[in-house]
Amino acid sequence: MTAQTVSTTGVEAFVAALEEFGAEPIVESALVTYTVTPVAGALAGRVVRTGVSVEEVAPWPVAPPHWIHLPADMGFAATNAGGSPMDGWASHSRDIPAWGTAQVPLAAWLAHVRGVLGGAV
Amino acid sequence: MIRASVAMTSGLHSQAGSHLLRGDGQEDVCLATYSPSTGDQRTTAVLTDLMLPLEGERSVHGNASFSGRYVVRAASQAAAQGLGVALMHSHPQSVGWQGMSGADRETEQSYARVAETITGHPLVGMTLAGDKTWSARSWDCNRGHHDAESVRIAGTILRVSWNGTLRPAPPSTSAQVRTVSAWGEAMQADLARLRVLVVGVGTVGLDLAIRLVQAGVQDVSVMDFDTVEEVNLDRLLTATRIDTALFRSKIHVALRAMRAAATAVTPVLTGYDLSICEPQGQRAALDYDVIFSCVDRPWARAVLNQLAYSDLIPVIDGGLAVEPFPDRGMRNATWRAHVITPDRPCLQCNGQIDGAQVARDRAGLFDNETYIRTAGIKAPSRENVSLLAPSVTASMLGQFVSLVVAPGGLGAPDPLRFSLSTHTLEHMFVVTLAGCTYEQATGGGDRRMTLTKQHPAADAARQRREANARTARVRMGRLSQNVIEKAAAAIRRVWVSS
Repeated sequence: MTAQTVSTTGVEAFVAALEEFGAEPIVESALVTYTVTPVAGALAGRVVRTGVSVEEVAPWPVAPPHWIHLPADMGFAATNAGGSPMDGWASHSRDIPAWGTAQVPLAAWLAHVRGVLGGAV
Repeated sequence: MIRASVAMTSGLHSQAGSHLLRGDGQEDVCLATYSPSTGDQRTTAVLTDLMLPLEGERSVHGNASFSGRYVVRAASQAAAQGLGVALMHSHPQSVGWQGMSGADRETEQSYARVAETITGHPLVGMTLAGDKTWSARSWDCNRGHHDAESVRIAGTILRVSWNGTLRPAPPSTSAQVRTVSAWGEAMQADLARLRVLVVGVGTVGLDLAIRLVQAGVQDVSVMDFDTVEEVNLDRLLTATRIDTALFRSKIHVALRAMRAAATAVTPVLTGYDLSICEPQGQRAALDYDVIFSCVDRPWARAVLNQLAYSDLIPVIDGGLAVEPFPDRGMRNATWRAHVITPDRPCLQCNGQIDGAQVARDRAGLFDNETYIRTAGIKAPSRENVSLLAPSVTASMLGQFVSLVVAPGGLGAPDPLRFSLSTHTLEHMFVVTLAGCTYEQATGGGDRRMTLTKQHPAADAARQRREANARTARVRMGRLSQNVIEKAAAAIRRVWVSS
């Protein structure tokens, strides 16, 4: 007899929250990718598919992901970039400020990503 | 044999007590849901919610009886959340840990299969005595029941009901007379039975571990993956240059010091060469009743912060911050101590961990020198002053005594901070933030978020130590040191028993 598993955390919870926000999540190449529309900068108004590593989302929502994965052709004036499991993508090191203070963690996360994308050149 | 235990918050304990211990002195019954918390040697049923009977689901007639419909309703709701069911009843006229009457046994046994079939988890039976002592057992529908060792109530005061047969009070010794005189035999019996884990045996952790075994706590364990280095010798009690030359682990040094200091008749001292951030480290920690957090990295503190709520194991955390002036000299030093437990704010709400830094640490970036250089960040502070470390130890032990002994019935205070420059002790009036995901997950048990994972820095530290220990010089040195330490232990045993 195995107990039913009910998960409200981790990748499953992150994906469910993205769906709720209409961010069209897809789990692919060890990433959870989803769409965000920046409101400022070179990408303002454009729907951008971005992602986070599945492994980094495991503790969601107690700890946020660190690396933001994006197509490699999206540049920033200043960035600390790393690799990505997705072909043709790169990851960017970004700290989210004041984690844990928001009522809805995903809203805080999307605001952070929109802010990061606002700096794209 | 895996040990069994039950844990609940003080809020749930009060709620259950109000229902079960009636004003008219009759017995009563109710159900609760629980989440399993699985350690190496112990499984704990962490109670999550009471499910009080609806009209017609139970009747009180001196004793109490209930309908099968009630059990099926509770079990179905529990199963929908992946939880198990606990069946609670009261013995208002009795005191202490309770055995089961024939009727108790028959009733619990008859519902064990129903509960397990619906939820997939064993039925937990619980009895509340008139003096508010709990007793508990776990049912296997084929093999009968298995008595729990303890029932833990976590809040600003930690109360543990002990099964005196499975976990008898260690006899107090003549060396403990003055400690016992401070709070009495009964409190010493409770305190000495607690299984205590010290995570991180650096300056503060080692000092704490020694004090705990000196006070008569029987089971004290230490967890650390580090090796003793030359830079530790200015503050690590009892560590010597020989230990650094022999690449001894910190847990080796800690256990040696603890064995020498223990006053219990049969101390049980264990060392884990692990990080709390590794799955095996976290699993080992789930066997304990109280944990001391003596680690400074955000990831490790986040893991412990989580266990305090998800698994109801109170964590006593503390630390020292030294603030130098930019052009040398000390501006200030502050030390803090706080109990992380239900009804007290978590480390994140208290500003002691930052989710972004937890994520960085978990991603291994604080151990990645290239990243640190490229990102232009400062690695977590390493300043330490051995002359001030005992103040941190004292603050943390004060919190421990407040939590367990509760002088004046008051329990653990708000987080405390002492400022050395102004010599002021501040009560930090910190409240839980509305969106606190740690505290929202109280009672989650094994459903906790997955903060742990493989820890490359811990792996590397252990491998380095092993490689260094392969040389003939170190092997011979360790052999000689082991012989001396064993001889010292043998003399101690003979001396104590004579």
